[in-house]
Amino acid sequence: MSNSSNPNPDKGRPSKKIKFSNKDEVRASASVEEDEGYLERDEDDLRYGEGEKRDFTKLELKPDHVNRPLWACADGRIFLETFSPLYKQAYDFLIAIAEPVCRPESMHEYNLTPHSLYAAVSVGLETETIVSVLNKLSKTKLPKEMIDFIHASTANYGKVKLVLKKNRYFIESPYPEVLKRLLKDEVIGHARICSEGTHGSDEFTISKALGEVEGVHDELLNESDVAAAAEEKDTHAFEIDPAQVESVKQRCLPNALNYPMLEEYDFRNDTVNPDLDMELKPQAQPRPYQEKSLSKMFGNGRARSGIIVLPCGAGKSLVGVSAATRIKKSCLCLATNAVSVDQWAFQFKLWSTIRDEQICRFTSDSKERFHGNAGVVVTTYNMVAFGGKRSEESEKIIEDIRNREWGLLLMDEVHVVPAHMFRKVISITKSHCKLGLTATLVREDERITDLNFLIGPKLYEANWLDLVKGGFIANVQCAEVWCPMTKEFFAEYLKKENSKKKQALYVMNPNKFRACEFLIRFHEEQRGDKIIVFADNLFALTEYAMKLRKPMIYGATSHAERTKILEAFKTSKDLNTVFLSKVGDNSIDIPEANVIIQISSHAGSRRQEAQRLGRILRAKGRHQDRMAGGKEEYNAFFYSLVSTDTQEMYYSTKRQQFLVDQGYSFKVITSLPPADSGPELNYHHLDDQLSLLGKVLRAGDDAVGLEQLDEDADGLALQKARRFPGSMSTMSGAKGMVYMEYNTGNRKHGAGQMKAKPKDPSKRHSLFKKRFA
Amino acid sequence: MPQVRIVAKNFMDMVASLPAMKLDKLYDNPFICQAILRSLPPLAKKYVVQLLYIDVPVSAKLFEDWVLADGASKHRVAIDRLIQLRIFNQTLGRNRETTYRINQTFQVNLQKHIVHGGALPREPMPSNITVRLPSLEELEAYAVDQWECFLLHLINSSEAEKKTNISSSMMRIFQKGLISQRDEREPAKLTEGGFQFLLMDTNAQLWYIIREYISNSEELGVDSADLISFLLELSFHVTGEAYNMNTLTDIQRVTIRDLADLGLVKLQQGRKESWFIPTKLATNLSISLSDTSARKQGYVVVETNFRMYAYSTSKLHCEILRLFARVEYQLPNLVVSAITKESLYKAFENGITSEQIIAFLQQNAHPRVAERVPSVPENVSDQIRLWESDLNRVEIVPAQLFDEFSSRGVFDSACDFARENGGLLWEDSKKMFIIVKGEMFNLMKDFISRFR
Amino acid sequence: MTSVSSKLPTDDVSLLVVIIDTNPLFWTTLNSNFGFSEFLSHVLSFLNSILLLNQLNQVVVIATGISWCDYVYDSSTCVSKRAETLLDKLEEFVEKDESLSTEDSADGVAPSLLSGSLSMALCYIQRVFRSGSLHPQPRILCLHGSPDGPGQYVSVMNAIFSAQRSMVPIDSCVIGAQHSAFLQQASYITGGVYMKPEHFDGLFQYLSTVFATDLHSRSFLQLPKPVGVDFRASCFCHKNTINTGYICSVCLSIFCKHQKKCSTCGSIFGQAQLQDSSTPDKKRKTPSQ
Repeated sequence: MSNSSNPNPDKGRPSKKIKFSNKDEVRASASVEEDEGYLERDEDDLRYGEGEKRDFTKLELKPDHVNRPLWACADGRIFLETFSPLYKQAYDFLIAIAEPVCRPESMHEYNLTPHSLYAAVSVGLETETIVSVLNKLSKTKLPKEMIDFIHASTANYGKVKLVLKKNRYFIESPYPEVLKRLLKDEVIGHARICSEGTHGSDEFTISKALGEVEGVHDELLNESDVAAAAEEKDTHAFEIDPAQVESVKQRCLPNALNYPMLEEYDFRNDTVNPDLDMELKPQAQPRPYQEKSLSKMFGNGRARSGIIVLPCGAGKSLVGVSAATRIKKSCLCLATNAVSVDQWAFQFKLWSTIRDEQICRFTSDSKERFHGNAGVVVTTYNMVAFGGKRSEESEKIIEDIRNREWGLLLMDEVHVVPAHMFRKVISITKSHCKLGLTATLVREDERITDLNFLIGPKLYEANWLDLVKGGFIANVQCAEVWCPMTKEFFAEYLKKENSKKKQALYVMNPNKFRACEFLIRFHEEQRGDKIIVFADNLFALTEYAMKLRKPMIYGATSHAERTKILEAFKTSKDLNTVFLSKVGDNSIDIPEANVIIQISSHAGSRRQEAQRLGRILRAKGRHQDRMAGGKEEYNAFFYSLVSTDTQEMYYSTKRQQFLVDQGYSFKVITSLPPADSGPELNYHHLDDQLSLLGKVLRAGDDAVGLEQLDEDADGLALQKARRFPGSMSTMSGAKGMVYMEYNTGNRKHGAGQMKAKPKDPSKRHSLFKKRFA
Repeated sequence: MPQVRIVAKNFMDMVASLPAMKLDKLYDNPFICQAILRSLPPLAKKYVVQLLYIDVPVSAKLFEDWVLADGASKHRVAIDRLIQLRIFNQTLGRNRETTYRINQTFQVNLQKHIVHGGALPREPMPSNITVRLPSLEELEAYAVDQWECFLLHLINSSEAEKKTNISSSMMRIFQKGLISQRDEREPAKLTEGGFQFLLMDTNAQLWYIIREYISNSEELGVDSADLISFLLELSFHVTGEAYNMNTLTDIQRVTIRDLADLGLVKLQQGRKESWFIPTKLATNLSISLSDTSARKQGYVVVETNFRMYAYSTSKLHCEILRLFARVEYQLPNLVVSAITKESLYKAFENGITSEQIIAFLQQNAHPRVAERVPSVPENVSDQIRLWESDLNRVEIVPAQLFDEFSSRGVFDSACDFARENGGLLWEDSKKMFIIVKGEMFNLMKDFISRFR
Repeated sequence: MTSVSSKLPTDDVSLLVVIIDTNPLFWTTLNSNFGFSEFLSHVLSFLNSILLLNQLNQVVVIATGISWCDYVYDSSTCVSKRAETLLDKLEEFVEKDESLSTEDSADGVAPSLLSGSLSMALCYIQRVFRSGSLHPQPRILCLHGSPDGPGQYVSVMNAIFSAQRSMVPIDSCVIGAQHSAFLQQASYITGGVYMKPEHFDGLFQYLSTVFATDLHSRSFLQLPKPVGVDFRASCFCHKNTINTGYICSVCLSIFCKHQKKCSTCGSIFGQAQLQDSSTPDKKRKTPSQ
């Protein structure tokens, strides 16, 4: 209970200051953007002991603070009350300028980072606007440190734009002195093309450009601010050589000249590229959050490049198609695999008036071409980035893709794609505007920052809980089912010689099997749900599926068989459960499932957890599910089965981190299957269990490992051994918000005797209370 | 929370343990009768009202007939309470059956009160003398301030900003049982009782302090019955009204000054007269005597991601939260903290149970989330309980391993010996080793050496 | 629907809304030994004892007259918390009631406006519900004696169902000569206690033994149960009490004779069944006691 003797706690941490000014250095050592705050705080904890508390009690509360929705702290942390009447506007504003840390029901937390401010500036928010709106919304007077920070970060952002006009590249800025500074640099100076009419290097072409037409923050600003924003501004520009665009962009990055360039595409005035006449069909009614994200992209009449983050099942494809129909130029759409390609093509035809001959798919199975001089090509990242020898037909198509000037490069699931593939695709194709769509902004391989500079800043991020409340995505009940290891399995798990088989052992835990079987029966018989069971571990997948006599799909399943199984799953009443391996994470679209059971998962990938959850987020409002209750009623269920006292527990907590931050809560169920269930579930008898154990131990080491799929960058990232400091409690999943990369070494487990947890009737899950009433 | 009941009951126990004559004398005062009536469990209250106008003893069976099966224990508790406090006199009537008769003094006083009402021994002072009376809000703020200052001093917190008038000897008496100090050099730490005290409801804490105060006064020669009667009477005064100090006896005057330090009354001085003003803390005293659930505004929001947001400016609240959570941000009117495994383990080590923490969070839930069922997210309360039960999963017993026995015979005798003496923890006959409790080591050593 | 406190009462803090029947015609025709003033003294003592039991208890009194009803006491606005302060207001009330009743009653005793008082009681209780989560548990006590007015059937039933929805029990203590079918139904449907004391001079004892019990304790005690409930309805067209009749299948309005059209919801009825007492599908109600 001792008070820190530091009179000014805010200044007591030098590392924070460094963070503000030299982002690159810190970024290299931090893993993920949102976690920067946490990682730091943890280091602080180690340095200063328990809770070096941030004491901001000296901040002055404004007299009407009750009406204002947020608190802003000097270290960049912002708290937002969701029940405030100004919540909606405040949320829109904050999501544009800050990174969300966690967004549960009553209180959100955000972090103001240089990066988030860059995103703000790139959607047209000016420094002064940011400060004044933040001040208006804040319960206290804005801390000086924060104001300084905002100024410092945004000083250089957004001052320079790279615009592609009539096939010529221009560097634009309303500040001629900035341009002058840029030109002093060798590389840029070199790249400059002098147009006739301007002799010498100090004259720039001057034109008028529209200011921001964003109406969203109107009510938060007064009239003069709005008027100022809408004014036409004088912009100065000089032209550069198209061949040197990439190097010029590099020079402007923060680690060099620190004037990162915004890219905008003036598609309305683009007379060189052929138009593609397609419109959105009238029945395509964008929802409010879809409109909002598009307005961020097209805010000032030009198309901005960037990333839009929407939860799975919230309608990303409509956003992509709408963007394409607004730009009305040729569009190259990249998806992760062949099935997605088909889906995107279907979505284009569904929502827009595009004609069949204007859209084509380019996959290993179909090599179509569109007719006319403008059209939409849907293909995979792989197809474009492929470096080896291609067939003649493919070669021609690739050549075409390479040479064409694309209006829009539409990239799906940007956070799944490995960074190097990304770079390749972007360097091969020439596009004016790049739009990345994704559900999750987390990557395990620390390449987020690259992504943001390759594609563009985050334009918009939707709030999962708000979408649930609005009925746009399902209300999911997440649960973690704890399955104790059987004595025999646990004994083998602890043995040194089985270290490679650890995963197989905790996945094949008979208690887990029984729990899984129980859940499947319950949901199938009592609720008539459609169930997907995910398993990364192929061995487990096969064993489970065969024993329970359900179909399974994994990497090697042929396209035709997949289609057959999925079709039956969708339509037939007899097939209600399907087992999927990692392929199910993104390649397959199963809109009608509403229960997911995860029996083995991927060493802590938060993206994967969120992606899997996305499989059932579409399940909304089957009327028979909505019993008199409304919002409270869950219509989708996500079960994660973990074997207690194994590594799986730790990974499980790590994986859930993203979802917990979005406001989901994981209920713990410790009493499945119920104590009285006996032989009706498999592996009731010890002999069966022992024979299963034998099978696992006999299988080859590689057979019991994870399924390897190429497109999984997270997997490769996580498997590289990393050593980071970690405490025992962190490893057991205790630190709440923080996670650290952890090397799986030998761990001593408690030598306590494995007693089965007594089944406390009050802990019965509400779903099963009725059954055992 | 069981602890609360014990403490509150302790005060009433103290009352009940007064000698019969003193207790009867207490009942001469109609306000005491009222206060004690209000402190009874609901069923007991009903019984009193039922017998209020009945002059003859009533058979116990009559009461029992009214009660349903699952209310039997409540009935017993109520009757016991009534007998303890000598409100009901139990006698054997005809046919040797138990009968109850309500205490006559008590009865008469209550009857009078119901029909005619009663007057306090003092009237509020006229407003022309008492100028500058504080408003109700000011009074409330004053009371909260005083009480918190007192509590902070009580737990030796360095956060206490103001000084308190309570003498250090008085403070030490209050701290008995709550704070322990191993030696002079070490800073005093809270005991298990101390931690639980902090998590209790304000009124329960108040009664605890008052009980200590009264016991202490008794040792100093003050009649506890007088004190008790004065305190109970105090709760019938009107909040915010001024009462002249010259209506108090000497002892009461001393008491009033002590109570002012706790925030129960505010003292003010006029030109010629001085008066005291009861605060809400005083007038709410009688509410909390019984086991009723706390009725007050909460301030804590617990989110599903284990983060807590407490709308409070009070340093005391911050200290309390620090008991089991890691405080991260302190804003002018908000305290942001996180419930982590470490912070909970620290709390468990200090003797706080998960039920106490969960009950504290539920009772202090912010009105915004109080309507929600459950007010504390289920996964948070489940996890807190799970972490606590985790502590119990592995039991550590210091032990000693004996192996390399010379023969099976020796081994078997050793096993039997250990078993007979209750120290055998584990035996492996195949490999011939046994594990015994550490404290048995020497015994075993001697025993085995006899075989050599 | 406002947020009804779904928590079971854990303490005995109560809000008691008492509805007193002041119908002078009834009081004058009652037993001359037990007059209105004696009745009042029992009731006042009872109210004071309720206020005594818990510092947070609240009492509200509504007077039912022939022509109107009004609040005559609210303990939360009364400084002294003594029930006697209602006497003045009650006197005013009765005077006004007399001046408002213009017509002489046809025969017997005119009914008093029970439905009005019940509605007023429920409005007050709704306001308490909305005041936050820390409100006392409400219940209604009807001290009634006048006969039931069939014309009030619909409004009384509506009030009863509303009380049931809000989980507010209606206790009834009937001081008249006959049972009241309305109050029997009210207590039955809302889970309250219905009683018709035999000895009026022991009224306080009845009140304190049975009706002083708070809602929390009621789960442990055996309280008087209704022997039989008179479920007879009155028809919507003539307001007569009937045993059998016709019911509109859309809005459940009750008619004694066959109509072409439902007067409440406007649905057209089909062909009438033959007026045959042997027809099995006519609804039968339980016969009165």
